[in-house]
Amino acid sequence: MTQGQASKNPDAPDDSGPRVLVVDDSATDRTLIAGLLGSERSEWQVDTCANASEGLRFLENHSATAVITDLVMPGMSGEEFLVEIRRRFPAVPVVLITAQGSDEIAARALALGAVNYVAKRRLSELLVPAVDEILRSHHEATMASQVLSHLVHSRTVFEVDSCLEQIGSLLHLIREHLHTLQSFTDDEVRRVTDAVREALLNAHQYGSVHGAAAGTNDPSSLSIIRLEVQQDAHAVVFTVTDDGSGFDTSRRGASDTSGIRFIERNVDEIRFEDGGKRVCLTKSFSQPLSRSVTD
Amino acid sequence: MASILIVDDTETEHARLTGLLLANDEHDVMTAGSGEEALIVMQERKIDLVITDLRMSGMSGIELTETLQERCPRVPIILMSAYGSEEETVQGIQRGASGYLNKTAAPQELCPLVQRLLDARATDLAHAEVIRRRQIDEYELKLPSQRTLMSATAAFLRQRIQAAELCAEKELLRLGIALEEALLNACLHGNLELESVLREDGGDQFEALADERGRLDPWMRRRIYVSARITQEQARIVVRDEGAGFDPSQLPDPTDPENLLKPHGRGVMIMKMFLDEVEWNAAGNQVTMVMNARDREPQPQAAKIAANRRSDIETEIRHDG
Repeated sequence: MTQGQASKNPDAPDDSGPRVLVVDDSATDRTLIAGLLGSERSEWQVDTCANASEGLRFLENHSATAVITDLVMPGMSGEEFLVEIRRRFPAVPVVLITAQGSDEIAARALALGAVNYVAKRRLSELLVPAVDEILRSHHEATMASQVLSHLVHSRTVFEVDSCLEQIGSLLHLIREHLHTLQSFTDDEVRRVTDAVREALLNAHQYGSVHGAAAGTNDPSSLSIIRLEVQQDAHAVVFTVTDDGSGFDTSRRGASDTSGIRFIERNVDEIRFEDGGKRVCLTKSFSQPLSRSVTD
Repeated sequence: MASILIVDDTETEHARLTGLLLANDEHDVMTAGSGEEALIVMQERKIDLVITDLRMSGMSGIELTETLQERCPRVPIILMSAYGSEEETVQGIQRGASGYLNKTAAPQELCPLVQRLLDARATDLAHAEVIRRRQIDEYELKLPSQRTLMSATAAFLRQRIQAAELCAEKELLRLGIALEEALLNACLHGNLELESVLREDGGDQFEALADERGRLDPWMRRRIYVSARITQEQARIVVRDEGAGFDPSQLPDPTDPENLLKPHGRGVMIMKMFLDEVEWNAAGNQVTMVMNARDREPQPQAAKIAANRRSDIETEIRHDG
């Protein structure tokens, strides 16, 4: 692992600037790329690794704003490396570069989740703009979480048909939102989403006015599920309401309430309101959300 | 049954691709001899997926992709070429194509790719439907008087309004500018009490004073309160500062183009031009801005597609999350 910019101390990375990791088995290309990035954008910190496993170790210990990797390397290929990064570090964007590419390899790389693909013969024109673009969207994401750190209160209400497709989309949105907050760990995001999913599926299964609706494919007979997400500096609260007869709360603890126990394990509090028609899940932030509200 | 449009300037290719598509699956396949013709077909028919040649006389596949991205962004596009370059492929996908196939690979790969994209479209439509049916999206923020935070907040609100699909893409930009002007007004003129006149000679003095006051009492203690309520009908955003306020009737005449060139009052004019309602409270330290829904594209019904894929989705939801 080498430092692309001699002026920087590898043990004290500059947290304020973007950090780009270059992975290539050719020492010449590593120098070339690091030089190219360093000369055109001196504020970028450039690190280099000679192979994919070294690259993964780097990502385990450091945060990178973007990864540029060669496609053809001995050991783990650039494509396998890309898949591994997408799986383990989904927030880190990857640019694939190669000397022996084709239209199909390019399409494949993008389909696997690379944000860009640059042929090595065109590195000098295309690489810096490609990284510029990544940093622009990274900057936007950072700005959004900066704004949310000053949140006093928010409330979002969704009303969806009681069908699995829409419930799936809703969960996807919730997960994205929880990630943006940056106040939950990845594991917490997963557990909270699991709990909300269970509550929504419960509403889907038992919450319809006309008992048959959940089992039919006719959209006109679908009932409605309402999800309200409220959030302040300390916690996020999900309230699921359906138009059915509601949970029989007197039966908590019985054998068919495993769903409730599952939710209880994944959030801080579960509360039933309005005779079980409304279920509220509360999860407090492990790190305080706000920097300004308490001042 | 999905409607698929094949766009290619050779008829043999129309026949070959139609044959491949209909070999195992039932689709409604249509053909167009050019990008221009494809656009006409797309206006008249409901198309679920487009397969287009990359290089055609007249409009290229990439140009067609770009145009379709604007007009019907949720229709997946497959680019095909017999001799596509890496650059063209990357360019096509980045401009909005959902997939790329080399023509030689079509016999093995076309049908699986078409199926994958049709499935993804169903998910995408359900996603759009859920967002469209978001009833209320509300935010209350309490912000320190930092200029970068004002721009970030404007971008954040613009993105929330974009998600609610209240207006077309090109209007979002103007909306973002108007919101940023309102927030900067609150920050610089409201809380930090800086005079626009200082800006007229280059602005160095203005910048220096803004930085200085951001670190000094009483200015540094003042906050900006933003409350945003976005529904399916409108976005209502209220920005309040803790400054002395101003007399809105003293603003330059927003209908006089002369005033647009002056830094003073420019922000207010931009706000009035781009928003449906702009109103100040009597004290002049709080502005309420309203933008009503406009120019919305009709949304396709997602629920119908949802029914077909129920079992797949169930598995997805249970196991994959």
